[in-house]
Amino acid sequence: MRRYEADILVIGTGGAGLYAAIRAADGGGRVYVRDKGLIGRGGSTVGGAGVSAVGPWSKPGDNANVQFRDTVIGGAYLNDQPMVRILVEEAQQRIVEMESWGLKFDRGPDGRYVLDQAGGHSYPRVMTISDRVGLQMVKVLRNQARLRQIERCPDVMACRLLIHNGAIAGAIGLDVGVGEVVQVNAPAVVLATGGVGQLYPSTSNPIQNTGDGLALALRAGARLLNMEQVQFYPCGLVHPPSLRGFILGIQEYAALYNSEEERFMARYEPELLEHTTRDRLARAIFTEIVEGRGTAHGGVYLDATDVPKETFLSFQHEYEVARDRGFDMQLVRLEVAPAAHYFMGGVAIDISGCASVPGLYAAGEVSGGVQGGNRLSGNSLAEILVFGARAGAHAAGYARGAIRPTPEQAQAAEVEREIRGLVNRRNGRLTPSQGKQRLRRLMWQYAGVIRDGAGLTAARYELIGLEQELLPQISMSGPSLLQNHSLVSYLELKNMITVAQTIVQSALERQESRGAHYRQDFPEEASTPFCIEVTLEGGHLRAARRPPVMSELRPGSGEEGAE
Amino acid sequence: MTSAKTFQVHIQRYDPDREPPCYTQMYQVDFHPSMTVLEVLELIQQDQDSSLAFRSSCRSSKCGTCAVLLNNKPVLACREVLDGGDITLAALPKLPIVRDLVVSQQEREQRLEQIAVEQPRAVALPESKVDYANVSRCIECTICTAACPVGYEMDRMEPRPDLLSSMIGAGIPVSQGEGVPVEGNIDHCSLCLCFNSYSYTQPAKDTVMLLDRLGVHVAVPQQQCCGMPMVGNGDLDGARRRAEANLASFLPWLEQGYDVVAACTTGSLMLKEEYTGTLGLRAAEALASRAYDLGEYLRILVEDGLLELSKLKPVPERMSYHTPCHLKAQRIGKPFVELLERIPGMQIEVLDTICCGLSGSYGLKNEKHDLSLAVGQHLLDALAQSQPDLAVSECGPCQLRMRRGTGLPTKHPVSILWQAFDEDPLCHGVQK
Repeated sequence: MRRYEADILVIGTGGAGLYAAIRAADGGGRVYVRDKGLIGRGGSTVGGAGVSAVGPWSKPGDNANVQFRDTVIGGAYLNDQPMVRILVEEAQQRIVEMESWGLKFDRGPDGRYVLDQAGGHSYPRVMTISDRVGLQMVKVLRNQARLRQIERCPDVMACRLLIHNGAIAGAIGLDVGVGEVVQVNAPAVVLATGGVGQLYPSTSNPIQNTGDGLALALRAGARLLNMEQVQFYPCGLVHPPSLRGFILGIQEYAALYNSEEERFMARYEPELLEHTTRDRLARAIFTEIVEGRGTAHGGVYLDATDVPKETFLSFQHEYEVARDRGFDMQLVRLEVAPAAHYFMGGVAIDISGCASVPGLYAAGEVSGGVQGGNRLSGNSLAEILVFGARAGAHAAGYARGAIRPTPEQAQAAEVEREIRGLVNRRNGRLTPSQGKQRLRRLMWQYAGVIRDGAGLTAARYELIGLEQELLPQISMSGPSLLQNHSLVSYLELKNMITVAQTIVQSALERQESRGAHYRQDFPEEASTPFCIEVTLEGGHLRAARRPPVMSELRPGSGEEGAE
Repeated sequence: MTSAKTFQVHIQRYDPDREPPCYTQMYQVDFHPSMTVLEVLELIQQDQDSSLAFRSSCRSSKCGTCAVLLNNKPVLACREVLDGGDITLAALPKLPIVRDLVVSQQEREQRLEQIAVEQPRAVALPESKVDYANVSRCIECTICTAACPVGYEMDRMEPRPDLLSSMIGAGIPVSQGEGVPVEGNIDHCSLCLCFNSYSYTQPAKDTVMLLDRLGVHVAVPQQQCCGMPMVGNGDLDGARRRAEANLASFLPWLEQGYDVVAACTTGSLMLKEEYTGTLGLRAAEALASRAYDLGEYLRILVEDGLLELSKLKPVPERMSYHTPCHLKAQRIGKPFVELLERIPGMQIEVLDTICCGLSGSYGLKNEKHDLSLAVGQHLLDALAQSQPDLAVSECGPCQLRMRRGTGLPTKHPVSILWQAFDEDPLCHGVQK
């Protein structure tokens, strides 16, 4: 087993991880960066289309206070308000810094930034670089990491966080790039592993988003926050299979039909029809499907054939991608269903990115608190810049003052034994991918867009079944660990089951409907907002309520009704 | 059996622990319309063989990690739609294979880090020439480098295409003022083809310097690959598109009385014969009639008395010259040899050699490499026999083969001429 010594270990290299690594290096620490895929290529950031920020460029009337209010009201008061305050105040500093590093936002003929209007925002404040601001961000951040010669290694999946005397001591990982189990000793670890979209059959997320960081943090004793808050984008393709989860913005202009040729939104929203909020639209579509009025591939029909040609100019990428697969939406209807899009819950952190275990940090989609119960457009790219930078800087400061932990030999040996025991299990009945399919079907059925107590309870028992009966039936190739994707996929599945259990546990505990969480048996919002924290205690999950930090805005005190 | 149409997927696999490590495995897959290469790989991994290794992430053509070879053509797996015919899949060439379809990006990443750290010398593109809106579309899938015959060795010399766009996209500042001068307005215009623009830029720079000093005004119109790699690989439509773009760009200059000169014998042959012949472009006739190989053009300038070779001093190196096939095809003799031999004391030997073995993009292909080396062995033997200080040829790929095969330094003859000219005190300030 190879061992490395570092001050700060960053796991995950989307925007949040890279920014954390850069700040940690600037803070004087020896930084190690590891990613399950390629560095800066696998995260959700790559697909990001806009970043919301207020600054000297804002429209008259817009400022940090307005963005704060929009974000908290949009988040159904589940947001941690001190974190939201930092988000709206500091995003502009990160924007300026990113530009000094070579990012070039779109500007109009007058030289001013182009600002787009987006849902839930009172003013146009989403900055773009055509449709690829996320892609450009990771390019610039990757380059800054190179300039600092930060040690970065792809193809490493973190398997366990090391704990010594109650504090972080590093991590054990599986390096499939060289085919070895590796140990990184470090007093500070930053988790930046992204969201959980892969727990659902249809998602816009990259294949790596299997919730690994959440499972690692939970097992290390950290608290997870509002795990029930999974945002579904109402219209993601369900067919063709290669585009499953591909989300369609043209939805805002199109009409929806069920398999009985009924424009069903007339029943749910007689006046607004498809122009209702995204969560209501998602619930209506979901209901049509589960009540048997869905299409052959488990969706509803999205009809954009009457949408004016010029409207398609704003949706060129999605139009062309679908057309190239033989689905020209100007001519034919497409089959769509809600797709898992963004995860608002996550590792509970404070304003510096510190989790509840000393030395553990989290940033971006893996962390919870900033976005509350619903994320506004552009706020996620802003979050990764602001809180990535904060987590990295704070982790470097912490590592400087920390006592270098004694390397944990015993835990490392245990992980290695476990991994060596897993590979070459060729007699299993299922491949890891087939196991993932089982889990996804279960999550869609019981913990998807619409939930209820009975279904969630059933899910809890079925998940125990997956853990105890399905996992031992998974076959794996081996014995080599070199690019052993079946082993990686198995470890992902294990994490997915753990994270699914926390989502179900949290969803059972939230006996109300708030944000992205809808309970058929409790369709109303509770009068007082509360957060749910899930922990692992003595091998059992425990969910507990606590009030959100409402330092500035309380329900009823502000002009609500933005929705 | 189901009635679904199935097709065969042959995957060239690699397992370093196996003997032999390279082997081809066939899978039978059910076909459905709109099926992509990535979907095929996922289905095999899910239902037939979980040991199959390949990379992917976003599934929507943004992360650039899933590039593979489909029937020998580099493609993005998530984007390439299949038609139901049997296919062969293999790892992307030019990068080290780790397992099956997974290649290592480490070397590329190290090179990018080196460029980032040493940035001022790394890129020699004037900022005004950088099309940020376009280059920022690059997703760094490296398909361009996999597909480009010229990109073969670039990573060891100058930035190769994928590295260049990575750097520009990442905000690495491009140099101000460096690069080839681009303005001019009297009687001449030069086409410096891609090998000289991207891979070994020295000949292009020396060409412009020399012509400029001789009083010839040089313009470098916007241009693309001449199209020869596509002709060589049967993609005549692709070649025609490039030819048409180049024509559109050069015709206004021809109308103003400019001649067209190529510093690469492949380029000059293409302009003179292939645009009108193989590609059948009538509109290229005007271009063909005014196109010159650089050596041929310099020979005219010498005849016109613009350059007195007898007054120049020789360079000290002993040189062996290899004649490019594309020069032979032009039937204009060996103009550069004639010119260099007229400089008193210049030590240049013309090798009696045929094809260097690379033969366009042929020898750059992995599967043709061994045969290509065998074809070119006589050239390497001839150089070993002559033991010159320097190997000389107008053709970039010929130089590549000579340099790689023998370790000798190589030069384009225009660089020798420029060196002789530039070092002669009598010539300084003669015209300019």
